[in-house]
Amino acid sequence: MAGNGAPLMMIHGTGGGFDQGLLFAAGLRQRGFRIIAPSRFGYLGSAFPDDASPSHQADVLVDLLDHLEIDSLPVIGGSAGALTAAEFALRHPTRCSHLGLLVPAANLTNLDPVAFTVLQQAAVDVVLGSDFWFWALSRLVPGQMVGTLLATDPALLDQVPDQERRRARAILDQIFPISRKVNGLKTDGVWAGTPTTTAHDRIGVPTLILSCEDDRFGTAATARLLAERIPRAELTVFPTGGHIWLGHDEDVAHRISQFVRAGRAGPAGAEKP
Amino acid sequence: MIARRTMLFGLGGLALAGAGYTAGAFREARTQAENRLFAHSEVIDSRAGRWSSRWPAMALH
Repeated sequence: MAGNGAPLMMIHGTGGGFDQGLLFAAGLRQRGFRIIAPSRFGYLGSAFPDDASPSHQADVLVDLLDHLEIDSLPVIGGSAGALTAAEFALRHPTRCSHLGLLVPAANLTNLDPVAFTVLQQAAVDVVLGSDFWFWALSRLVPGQMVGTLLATDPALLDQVPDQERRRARAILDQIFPISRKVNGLKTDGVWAGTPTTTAHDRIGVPTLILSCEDDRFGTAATARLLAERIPRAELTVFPTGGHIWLGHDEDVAHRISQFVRAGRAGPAGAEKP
Repeated sequence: MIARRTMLFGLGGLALAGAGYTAGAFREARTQAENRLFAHSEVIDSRAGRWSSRWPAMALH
């Protein structure tokens, strides 16, 4: 947890933990939000129960809000964290004032949006299965790691301000030590690739969906489908930025802040720019 | 023969030194990461068991 002001929950993506949640929400913290960033099931010492589903994670987040004595707050989920955020909004609408789905992972078409080839999967398994290999490769071939694990065109790194380059590096570095996240990583892989059972059409809270057209995990298409299914959802798709919205962190923070503070959803399916 | 042996020893020494440096750097990186993540963490109870959160969250209470 960090910052002062109105509370906002940021739920991290695959390979993250509370630190990634805080990093994703750094711009929101600067805009006067108090960031609640839990580590999901299987990440950084959090529990790993038999039922580590997004719906169960959502239920347990209520315990966290009770512990912090927070009645209701905006809930933003990044990547695989969006699975939990959507379930939270659906199952606990009185505790969720706004829903934000940031580069959302979801299998909405019975096809895994992040399907790797056998060779890619083997390489990813090696990298994600060893602290040493992850550490070594993230130093030796950071561009390839950004392209594969962060699903972002590494060429963008030369086109964005230094602050954004540092953010990309921080997201990559914070995946280490990966051995503290193995259970969470595996579970995310399963749930993100499994056809969704979330009743998105019954989500009743104001919803904002953000993605980038060139996200190599294909979340732009997912975002558009979600915007069709979630009533009155607002959608913004940036032309570039990949899975870590590289070059758009300020835009993302501004958009979420504006959305939350406006206090209501905009026109259905609005898409900018 | 002596020159060849010397060269082999030299290369072996370099490889050992490189491996030692790499192992040390890796250990240092892991220690730093563990400190960054867990030095200021506490755990609260939830219906699912442990739930990690940063220390300042506890300080609010």
